[in-house]
Amino acid sequence: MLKLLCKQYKYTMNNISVLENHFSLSNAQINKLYQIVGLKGEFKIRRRLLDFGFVNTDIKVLQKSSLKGVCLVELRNYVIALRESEVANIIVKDVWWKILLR
Amino acid sequence: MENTIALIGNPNTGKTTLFNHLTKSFEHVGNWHGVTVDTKQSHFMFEGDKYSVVDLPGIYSLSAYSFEENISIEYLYQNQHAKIFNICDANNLTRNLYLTLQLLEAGFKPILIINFIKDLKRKNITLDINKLSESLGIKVLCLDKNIKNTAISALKTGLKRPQDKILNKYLSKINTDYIEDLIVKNCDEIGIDKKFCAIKLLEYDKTIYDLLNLTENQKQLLSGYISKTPDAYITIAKLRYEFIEQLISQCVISNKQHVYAKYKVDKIILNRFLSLPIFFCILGLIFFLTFVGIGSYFSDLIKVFINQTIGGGINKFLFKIKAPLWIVDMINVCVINGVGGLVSFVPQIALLFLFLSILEDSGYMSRLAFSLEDIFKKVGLSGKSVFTLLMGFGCATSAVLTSRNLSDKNAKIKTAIITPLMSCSAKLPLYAVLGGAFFGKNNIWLIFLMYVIGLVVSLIMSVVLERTVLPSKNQSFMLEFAPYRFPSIKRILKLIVNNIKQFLQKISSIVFGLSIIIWILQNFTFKFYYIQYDLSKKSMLQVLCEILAPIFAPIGLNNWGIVASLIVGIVAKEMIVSTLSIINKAPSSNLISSLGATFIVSTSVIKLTPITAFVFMLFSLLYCPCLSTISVLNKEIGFKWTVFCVISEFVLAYSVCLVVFNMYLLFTTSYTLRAIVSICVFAMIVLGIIKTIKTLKTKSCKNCSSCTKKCDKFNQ
Repeated sequence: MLKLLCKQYKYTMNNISVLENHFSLSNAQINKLYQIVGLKGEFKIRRRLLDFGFVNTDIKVLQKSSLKGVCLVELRNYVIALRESEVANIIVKDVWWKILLR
Repeated sequence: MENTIALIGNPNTGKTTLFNHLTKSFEHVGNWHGVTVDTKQSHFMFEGDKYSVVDLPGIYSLSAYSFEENISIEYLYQNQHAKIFNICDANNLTRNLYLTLQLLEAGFKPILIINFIKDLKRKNITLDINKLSESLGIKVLCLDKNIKNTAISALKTGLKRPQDKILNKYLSKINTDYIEDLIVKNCDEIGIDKKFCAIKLLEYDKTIYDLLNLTENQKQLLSGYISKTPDAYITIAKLRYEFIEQLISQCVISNKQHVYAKYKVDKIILNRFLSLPIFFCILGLIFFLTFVGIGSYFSDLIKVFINQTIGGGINKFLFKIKAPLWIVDMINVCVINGVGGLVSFVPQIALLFLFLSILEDSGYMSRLAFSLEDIFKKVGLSGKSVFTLLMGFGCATSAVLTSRNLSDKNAKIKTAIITPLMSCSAKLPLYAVLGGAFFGKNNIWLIFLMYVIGLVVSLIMSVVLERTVLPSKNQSFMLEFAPYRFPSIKRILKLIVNNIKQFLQKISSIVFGLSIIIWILQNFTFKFYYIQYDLSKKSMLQVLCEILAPIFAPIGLNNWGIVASLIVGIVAKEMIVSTLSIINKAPSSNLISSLGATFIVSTSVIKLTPITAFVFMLFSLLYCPCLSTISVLNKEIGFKWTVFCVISEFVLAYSVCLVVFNMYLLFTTSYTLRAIVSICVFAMIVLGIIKTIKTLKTKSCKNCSSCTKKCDKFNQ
């Protein structure tokens, strides 16, 4: 049953309407602040990302590794290394106005 | 059973440290995520009461992701009566409280213990603990030296479940009435809160789903309901985090918004081009200090002490009481050479473990995993395999256990299989003896070469496994960075003492016992005739091992002494050197130089040339893991893969040595034809093996059973 649900769910998530200013974190610039708007991709990884707190928060890409396979990401006051395939599942939007406010 | 305390918390928050502090035990701790991979139980007495403490692997939430997380979660569900100490990292409260909230939802009554509160003071952040305790409705403590007193007195005053008011602030926004009604009976059976079960089902949690034992009808109704709101688990996570953020804004007073301390060192260590050279520099420095610098100085001192003081004293005593010749010989060979020779390696082993534990504690390991992840992914491993492989330099047996924190099963098996190929500390004496005897001053480079060969061969083996039998799935890699910390000197000293103790215990039990057995086998014939009286007779060991010796002829080790030492080496790798010294009857002065010298003397059993010595070292680096590692492997990756590991590593060692030895023959001697033929045969065998494995793997279609090529039908 679980498998079936996951499949169904994957399908609905892939049809998510992506707004214009929403883009994947893998296209993000390094050392700039973004805001997470959603997650896509495989359900298991998505739940794991949620456990790590990838929801409703600011996020920043600190660095990419030598062959650009791994991303170093900062959020909620800690740093975590993620594979490029997972980073691509994180949808973010600009928060330039936040920087202006500070 | 009343006083069971379970330690629960995120990884790397100091659960095992607290466990060690409470029970005065000495479990392995380190500054990286996923050190503890199994439950550990111990107990302590406090004011006349007995408290048993259970240390559990770290988890991020109550939904399991890898094997070791499942252990913790299942323990929690099965032991509902256990008192829970929830340990939090003060630097990272938001994410740590996420787990706490789930514990509260599940109906546990945890005591929240906040670790690393000093780090907050350094960052000018104040945490209002009373307020936190009030708004969560549970007891909150700071981890300090008095933790035992405060925690136990908190336990004694009785723990309350927080009022539903607190949790209902966000839980009421999730509509679970339908599922609750559906599963209420099953929940009562297993004794877990029904609301929590419903939430977990909305989060697709498999552990709860299996625990509930639903009927087919219930399953269908459930899946029908959940598929209507597939996004529920995102909403749940969102609500939890919103609640935590609110909580933290009340309790934490800070000036800055982003408090993650950026380290300037990281810019160099994580640099795209510098990270790998730095790693090799650190490895090189460790070997240099261990084998040439401080290590060899101390080990020389011990050698002199053992040989002159102890050896001389025992011999004088034996001479005085006029002991028979065989007793004198046995004591000299087994005790002074076999055991004493190994004792002189204590400083080197201590230093190796010192450096490994500094690497572990400083927080460098997670950075290393980050910079090696790219390469490791290409060979089919995960960046987290670095932890296992590096621990393999110390002892493969304990290293194999750490492979558990890999989430992908195939990657885990691969890591466990290649870990014994690392040069563990038990292989170190052999390098020192043979390297010192045949390569003189270049000895250190040779040893470094052996370590590098071990690493490279293991990576190659991983590639082969990846391409053939164990392809890794698209595994995820999520690794939290550990903060840099100063290694605690007290802990490292304790760790070194512990390791030396283990090493000495091993020497005094297994090595000593086996030495005597080997000495008997080597000095008596089958009719139990002492061989020294008549050197023309063959000893038991010689007869047995001469049967096997021809197998090793193609790699230049056609010698019964070497075969014997290799066989004994499977029991414990330290035994290789001590067996060599028993068989070669090394004079009991300085073990390394004297044993080394015997390899050149024509009268001794084992004669080696530089090339055969090198092949011997190579073979003992790569062949079957030792018995204790095999038993751990059996537990971790199953019988089938353990057999595969042992056999494949033997074949690997044999074939690598075959190529090296025959390459040497090709260029230096007149055996050109033989060399070419054997290399060709080897290449054919390898290709054959790879091809058969590939054909085994590709499934043929239903209609055409014999075809192995991928045709159009197959692709459909």
